[in-house]
Amino acid sequence: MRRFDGAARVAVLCAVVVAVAPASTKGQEPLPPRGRHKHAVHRFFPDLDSRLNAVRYGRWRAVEIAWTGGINPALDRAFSSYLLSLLAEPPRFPPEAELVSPRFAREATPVFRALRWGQVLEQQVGDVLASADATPETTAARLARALGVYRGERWALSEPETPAAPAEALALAPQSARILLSGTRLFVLAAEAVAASDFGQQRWKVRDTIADFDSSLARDKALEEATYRVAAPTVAERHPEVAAHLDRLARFRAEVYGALVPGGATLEARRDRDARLRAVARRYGLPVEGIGAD
Amino acid sequence: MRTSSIKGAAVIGSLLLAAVPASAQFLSNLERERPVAVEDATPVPYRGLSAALDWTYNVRRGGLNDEGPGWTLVYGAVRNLELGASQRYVTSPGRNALRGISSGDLELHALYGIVTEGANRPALGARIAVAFPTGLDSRGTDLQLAGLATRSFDALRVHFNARWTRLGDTVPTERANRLEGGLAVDFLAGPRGRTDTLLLVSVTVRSSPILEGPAVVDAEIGARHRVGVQTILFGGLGSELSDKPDRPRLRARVGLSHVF
Repeated sequence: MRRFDGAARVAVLCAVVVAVAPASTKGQEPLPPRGRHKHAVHRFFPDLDSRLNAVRYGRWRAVEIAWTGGINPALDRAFSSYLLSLLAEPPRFPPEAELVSPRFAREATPVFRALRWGQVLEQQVGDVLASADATPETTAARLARALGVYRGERWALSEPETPAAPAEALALAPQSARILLSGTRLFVLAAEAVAASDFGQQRWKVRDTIADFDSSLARDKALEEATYRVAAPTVAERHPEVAAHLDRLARFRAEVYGALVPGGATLEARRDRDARLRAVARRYGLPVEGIGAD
Repeated sequence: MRTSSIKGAAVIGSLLLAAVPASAQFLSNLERERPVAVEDATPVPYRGLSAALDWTYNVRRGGLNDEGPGWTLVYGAVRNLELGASQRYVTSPGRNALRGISSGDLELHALYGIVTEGANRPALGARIAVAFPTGLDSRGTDLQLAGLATRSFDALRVHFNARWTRLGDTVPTERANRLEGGLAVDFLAGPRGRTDTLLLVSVTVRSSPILEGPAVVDAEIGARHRVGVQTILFGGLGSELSDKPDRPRLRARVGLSHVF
């Protein structure tokens, strides 16, 4: 084995220095904690999981379209049609957010990361509650760990000091808003179904939850119907911190949609949109660098 | 050689022991030769362990075909840094060694994500790899340094790799410093924007292994398809565009990648 010459040694040294340099805080979020609950919803309730996946796709698609096109009646028709076609043949696997929302991911990075990190928590909570070996003790310990990991990241949401104004987006895109609200409600009711009963009963409750979701997609619902506090009393009572975080995430998502109303068609609209989104990010304790193209 | 093998096994073992199961799928996370030579600039996520196994078949003129398996382990050791090990075996190792293709060399690499993609900049990464001569008819320890860039354009992503390889041991007619540049494009192929299938096209230009020889151009197409929540089936076809008589006229590769 011949030894490297001088130039190669310098190159190796440079590369090693780069490689072992402290990881930037701008880095990716970690993968969630391991455990036997991994993919429990996917394994035990595939019909439910595919609908949850459709909702996840819809959420990412919504922010991607709204980022450039804004939220308006024309978009509402096109987007609700996309969502309904997706739900007609729901996907087996969750979406890769960066591929569904590439522009939003690179031009509104902190908000994108916060939404994705929230999705990871939401998925973890569902899997923990649906785990085959769930007991009150293991569930509480796993949820505490998942919440701890979530909070440890800079993309975790803080509670805003003031309540938000009613989301403008709901009125501008009523069809899409109803479907997305139904999707959020599906997550809430699914968590309640798997938390409130043993595995034998879970199957029936989940089946009823799916049937209710399929039949009431376009029905008008109050925002409160899609909160853990109101629609998932068992989860809220047993795991109040988790429920509070997930409800906060839903409020954050609604405020993000509201901030995207102007879209990005003109320079003025982009400035307005970016300013609104930065305000939302600040409210929830997120960094604002990296929001907007300027 | 025995010492190198033990060191390699120790590294692989430590990677496996440190693995933490992931709950995400990495369709978009391109690794080298999974299925094309060009990779993206993003390391695997922190705590993610990705293992891949493939079989590659090279069709050459005059019945000089060769084939063999290759494996890769990649681990997100810390944020923005992946560590990996890989090995590839080919039949006819003696003849392939003369072409600069070793059989059984252990390659260890580190990929550092320098910056993530932003509104006005691509994602940039730096990769260092060392190939140990653990294979049959191998000579010298090789060093490889590469710069990687990835930029997305809505549904399309473009990847650029620039690579410099320094061979540790060469014969007088063999080139010791080799350069390689690769460009690849990938895009989703699923209906309604589903992130289950990714198609790739790549072109790579590299220095000839022989001094004074012309540059070698490789063209490849490939696909990555999700077959499980954490499992990807990948396959690719490639061809070397050169006037060498024993060039691989067709290279076919198929394999599986799983995230633990």
